[in-house]
Amino acid sequence: MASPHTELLNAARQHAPEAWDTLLKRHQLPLYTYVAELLRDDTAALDVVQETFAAAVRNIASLRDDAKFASWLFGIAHQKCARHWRRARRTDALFAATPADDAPVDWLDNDTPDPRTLLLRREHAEDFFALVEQLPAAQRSALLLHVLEDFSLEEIASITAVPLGTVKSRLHHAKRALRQLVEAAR
Amino acid sequence: MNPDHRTPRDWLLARHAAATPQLDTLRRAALPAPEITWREFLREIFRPHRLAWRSLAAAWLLLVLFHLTHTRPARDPKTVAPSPEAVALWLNQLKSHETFAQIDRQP
Repeated sequence: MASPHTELLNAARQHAPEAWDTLLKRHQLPLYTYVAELLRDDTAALDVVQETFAAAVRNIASLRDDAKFASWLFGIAHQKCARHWRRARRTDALFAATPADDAPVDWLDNDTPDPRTLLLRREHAEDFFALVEQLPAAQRSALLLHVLEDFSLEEIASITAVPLGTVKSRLHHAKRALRQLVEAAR
Repeated sequence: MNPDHRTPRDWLLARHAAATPQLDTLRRAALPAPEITWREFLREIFRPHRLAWRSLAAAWLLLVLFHLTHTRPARDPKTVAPSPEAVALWLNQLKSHETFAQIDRQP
């Protein structure tokens, strides 16, 4: 028997509006948050989300694995963000690899806090936002995907279309910056 | 849990929660149009204004009935019997022709 999620996606493939409403509503705020934090432009973020919704409805046939609907949706949004930056001639600054991306890292470093389970007080939330804004776009993207939707490293690599090692490196650097924030907050 | 202690995810979502009404609008605009059958299509047309459609049908029925009861059937002119006046006129013309023919024949 098909799971409720699969049934929902099957209905979405039949262009059932109710199924799409449920699916998009489930992801709309994390998706918008990701795009808005990445682009730092609320108006552009709304445009990207609108384009993402339309592209998802149009191209649902290209979704092969039902369990990966969320990463598929975020992948579309990520591509739209890249296109938005390309139009603004800032692509190189956003997604270009940095020397740090290729540096070998210990992803399972126990000293670095897990940003998904970390508890922040209100006053430190602003510091966290500032930290996210200071990160290079590529690291920011990896950290946001990790934090917002709990995507696996493989899923983040698929969404951002970079090798797995690059994702590990980017997240490692983002987490190290986060550790400095946490230590400063103590 | 202390409401002041939240995960980064919660803080991030709270930071952008004000955009939810706009996102709702975008989402509704992106929904595909439902695929409907002919039966559903006809039902959608007729059902909401049932009284109006019934009134229109009744008006048309009355018009047809009026037309059938107050209009004479069309007749072929060749099969129609001439009126007595027309026959008298025609006979007069025939007599006149015969009279002129007799005058012409006289030397």
